[in-house]
Amino acid sequence: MQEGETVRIQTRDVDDRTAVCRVAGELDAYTAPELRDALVALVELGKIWVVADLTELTYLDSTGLGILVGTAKQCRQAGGDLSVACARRNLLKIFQISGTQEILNVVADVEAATARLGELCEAHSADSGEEAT
Amino acid sequence: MGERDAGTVKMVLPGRPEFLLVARLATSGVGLRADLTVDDIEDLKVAVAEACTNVINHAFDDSVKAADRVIKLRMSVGNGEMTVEVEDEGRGFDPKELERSKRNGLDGKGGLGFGLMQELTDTFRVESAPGSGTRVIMVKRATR
Repeated sequence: MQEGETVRIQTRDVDDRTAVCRVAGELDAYTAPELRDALVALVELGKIWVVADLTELTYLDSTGLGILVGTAKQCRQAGGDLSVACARRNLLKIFQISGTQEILNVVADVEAATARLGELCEAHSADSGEEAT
Repeated sequence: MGERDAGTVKMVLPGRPEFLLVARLATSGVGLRADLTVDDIEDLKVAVAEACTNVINHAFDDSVKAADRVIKLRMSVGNGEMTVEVEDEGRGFDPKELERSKRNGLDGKGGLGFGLMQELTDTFRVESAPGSGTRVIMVKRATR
C-alpha cells in the first residue's frame, strides 16, 4: 500500500469466465466505488464466476457489503456466481450480522472460493443440462 | 478540528466520504484510552463509520451547501466504556421509520447500517425528528 492509499484492487483472469478480484486495505464509502467499477467491468467482460479475495482486506462496512451483494446478483442473473475469500474475524462478524455469509459463499481462502465456484458451476450445468466446464 | 478536555474529544468533520477514515482513526485512538480491546475497537469503528456514512448519504437535501454539510463527533471515555455521539443538522426523520428501514436491510436507505450499529455496540439510540437533524448515541463497553 502506498501512503495515502486505503484500498488496492487487482484482478486476474482464471479462465474465459472466471476471475479473481483481490481487494487489500480498507473498503468504505470513499473507496468502495473503485471496487464497484472493477467488478462491473469484470462482469461486462463475461467473467460471471468471480472470487472476491478479501484475505488482505482489514475494514469492511455496509457500503462494501452492498457492492458485493449487488455483484453476486449480477453474476447469478448471467448464470454465474460470486464467492468471497475471507478469514479475518472482524470482517466475518460483518457477514454474519448482515446474514450475507451464505448468499456471498464466504469461505476462508481463494483456493476454497475457487472450489466453491466450481461446485456451483457443476450444479448449474447439471440443472440446465449442459456439460460442466 | 479537535478540541479536547476531561476525557472528551469533539470533532467537526466535513460530510464527505474521504473523511470517514479520520472518524475511524479517532475512534481507534480514543478507544485505546477507554481500554477497549482490539475487537471492541473494530466493532466501534464500523458503527461510527456507518453513522457518518448515513449523514453523508441521507442527511442533507441537495440545496444544502457543501460547506454546511458537517458531521459532529463527540467521543468520551469513562467507567470502562466509550460513548460516541454522531450528530448532524440535516433533514432528520421520524425514528419510527427506523424499524422499517432495518427490515429492508441492503435495499433500504441506511437500513443495514443501522442494524450494524445496533449489533456492534452495547447501547444504541437515535434522536431525530423531521427538520431537526439527527443524533446517534452509541456506547461500547470494554470486554477485557
